[in-house]
Parts: sequence; structure tokens; C-alpha cells
Amino acid sequence: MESLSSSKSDQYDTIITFCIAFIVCCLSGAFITGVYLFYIRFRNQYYAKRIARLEERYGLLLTGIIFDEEDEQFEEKRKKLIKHFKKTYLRSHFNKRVLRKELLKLYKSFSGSSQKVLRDLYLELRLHKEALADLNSTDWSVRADAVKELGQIQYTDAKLKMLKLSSHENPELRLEAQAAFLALEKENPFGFLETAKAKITEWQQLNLEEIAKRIESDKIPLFASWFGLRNQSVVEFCVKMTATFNQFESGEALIQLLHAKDIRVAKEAVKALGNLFVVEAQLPLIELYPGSSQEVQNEIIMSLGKLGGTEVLQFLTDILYTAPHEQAMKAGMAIRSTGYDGDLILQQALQSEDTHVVAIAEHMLDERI
Amino acid sequence: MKRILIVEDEDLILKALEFRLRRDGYDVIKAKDGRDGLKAIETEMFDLLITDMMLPFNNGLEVVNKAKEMKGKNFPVIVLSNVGLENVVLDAFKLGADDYITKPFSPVELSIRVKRLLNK
Repeated sequence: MESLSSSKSDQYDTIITFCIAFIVCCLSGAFITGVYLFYIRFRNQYYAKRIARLEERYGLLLTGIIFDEEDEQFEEKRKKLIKHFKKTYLRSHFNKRVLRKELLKLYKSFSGSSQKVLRDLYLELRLHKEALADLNSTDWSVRADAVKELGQIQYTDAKLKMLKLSSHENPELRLEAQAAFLALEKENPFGFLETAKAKITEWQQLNLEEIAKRIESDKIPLFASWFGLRNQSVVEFCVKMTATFNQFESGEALIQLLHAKDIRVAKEAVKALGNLFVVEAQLPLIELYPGSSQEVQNEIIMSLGKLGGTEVLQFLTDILYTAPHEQAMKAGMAIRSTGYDGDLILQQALQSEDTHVVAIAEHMLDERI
Repeated sequence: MKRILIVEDEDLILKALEFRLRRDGYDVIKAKDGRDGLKAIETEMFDLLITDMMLPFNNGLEVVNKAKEMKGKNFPVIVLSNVGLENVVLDAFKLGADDYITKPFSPVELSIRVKRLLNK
């Protein structure tokens, strides 16, 4: 009996020891987590305060320097300020990073002589060296920020680095590099397209288009010269740019692209032919229609509506009467967009025995739409 | 001394504009968002309004509208914006803005425009 109760007591002891150990572990864990969270919070607060303090100082110094430009003693004051900056504020990378951010904020907001003063200051304080060093960071977002910064500040010496990064595997970094290259390369701003291996996504294309619109018109290349590249996303982008920059001389090259294997390229070529009013494309588009996907067929109908012509109207009328609803609606829209002749066809369609055709014609002729 | 109200959410730009306009001899009142801007319009006396278009709480158009309501149709207003889209510019002019400046802008040019509006 005694040995039985002693063994039970041993068991209880083990359980109690285990429970105490477990509670101690939990409490230690909670304590360590608490201390860690407190440390993180304290550190973030410390940095936020430091950044705010530096922003305040840099703000005053920078606004002072850009608006003192009209002062007679500007050059002297500027030299003094640069010396003061270097000695007092630019000892650490942290401080330099904050200054770069503040300087760029002003640089983006102001133009003219103020912008020039800020750029000169940026270079004189050798902040571009910091940005160039960031290009070697292992963190892609730091690299992307540096790329953007060098592009904005127009540091043209970095354009070869940008060209190299324009084929980087990270899409965000790639886009920033392509945008920066567009801004920095004055002679052949779209040169990166020739070497671009990765896909240029639709989002990237939109961004590049926006930047391209800001480039001097005489630097815009003939995009058709890249229609033969292997990278189909580049070809798709070039087709879009052909229409955006009204490169009418590329009509024949666009017609050739109607049979492209990549459906997006073919679709963009159809769209561009309509937007550029390439009348020679009427027959090729009509011939392409039967074997195309529905997506391309819809584009063909809309482009034909822009081109007009007797044969085109006959073709669109056939679609209105025979095709499924979606294409028939598009054909109605296209017929309406051709003007007077189109309106006559739609008015005739109102007499049709096919109620579906009548409904479409009524819809298209409705003045409220 | 003429007083100018600047409504701008970007602290650094606000400071820069304040610095420039004070140098030109104006007194400056600042507001950092649309709500403060509207409050300043109701409570402060000033001769010209410069407002950014994109502001927290109330946008620039609301600020322009309020200024025109409170101070009269001929009250001079300059709108600053990152957006140069035609419809946005037209909206600002329809509400009575006297000038529309797209960022990036030249501070010297702004200074001349302010002077011109105040001398009208």
C-alpha cells in the first residue's frame, strides 16, 4: 500500500513540475515578446522623431537656398551652406537618406531655376553617390527607389546601369529602370526595347506610354522598326505607340501584323489600323474576320466602323443580320459611326422582320444614347 | 500688408511657398488640409487664396467654392495641382478660380501671378 501511494505521489510531483515548467516558459515567452515589442515601438518612435527633426531642418535650409537665388550674394551663401551641410548634417547614411527624400520632394514640385539650384545642390553634396550605392542593395525596393531618384534628378551618367536593370527579373525594378532610361537617354530613349527579354505587362505599358508622351517629339522613333522583335509584349507595346504617336507611315507594317501568332499583337494591330484610318486595311480586315477569335472579331468590327466604305458597310450589314447578339450589337455601333450612309442602313433595318435586328437598330438610332 | 491663405498638405511645399511669399512682403496664413482650409476661410481675413487640389478631408474644389461663397465672386484664387487634365482644370475655372498652376511650377512665376491678381 505504501509503495503504491509513494508511486502516486511521485506521479503528482512530475505533473506539478511539468506544469510549473510550462507556466515559467509561457511567462518567459510573454516577457520576451513584451520586451521585444517595446523595443520595436521605442525604436520606431525614435526614428520617426529623428526623421521629423531632420525634415524640419532640411526643409528650412533647402527652401532658403532655392529662394535666395535672386540675392546678390547667392553664390557665397550657397558655398557656406554646402560647407555647413557637409560638416553638420551629412555624416551618416541615415541623414543623407532623409535629405535625398526631402530634396526630391521639392525638386518634383518646382520647375525652372529653383529646380536647377536643387539639382546642382544634389550633385555638389554627392548624394548621387549614395543613390548609386543603393543600386547594389540586396533589397529590390531600395534599388527601385534609387533608380527612380537618379531618373528624376536627370543623372545621365547612370543610363547604362538603367539599361542593364531594364531587363531585371523583378518587374517593379524593371519598370523603374525602363522609365529612368526613357528620361535619361536623349538620343535613343526606347533603345531598351531591343534588349528587353521579359514581358512588358499591360500596367508597365501604360506607365511607359505616359512617360513617352513627355518626350520631345523629334526623339520619338518609328516604332514599326521593332515589329519584328521576338518579345511579343514589346511588339504589342510598339503597335500601341504607333497609334498613339499617329505614325501613319506604318500602315503597311500594321497590316502585316494582322496574322501575328500572338492574339494580343493581332488585336492591337486591328485597333491601330482603325485609329490611324488606314483605308488599305478594309479588305485585309474583312478577310481576317472569319478565322479570328471573338475578341479579335469585335475589334475588327469597331475598326471597320472607323474606316467606312461601301464594301465595309455591306460586310457590317451582313453581321448585323446574321451574327450572334454581341457581334450584331458591335456591328450596329460600327454602322452608326460611319455617318449618314450608316444611318440609312439602320433605318432600313427598322423594317426587318427579325425583331432582334429591329431592336438593335432602334437602340442605335435612339438619340438619347 | 496683404495676407495670403495657403492650403497645402505637403509640409515642405507649404514651407517653401510661405518662405517665398513672406520674402515678397506678404503675410501668410497656412492650412494643412481641406478642413483647416475651410475653417480658416470662415475665421480669417485674407486677400488671396492659394490652394492645392488634392487635400485630405475636403478637396481643393470645395475650398475654392467656400472662398467664393464667403468672400464674393471677385475674390482672387489660385489653384495648384499635380493634375493637368482638361476636365479638372475646367472644373476649377467653373468654380471661379482665377488661375490654375500645374506642379512642377516655378516659384518666380507664382510670385508674379500673385502680384498680378492682388493688383487687379
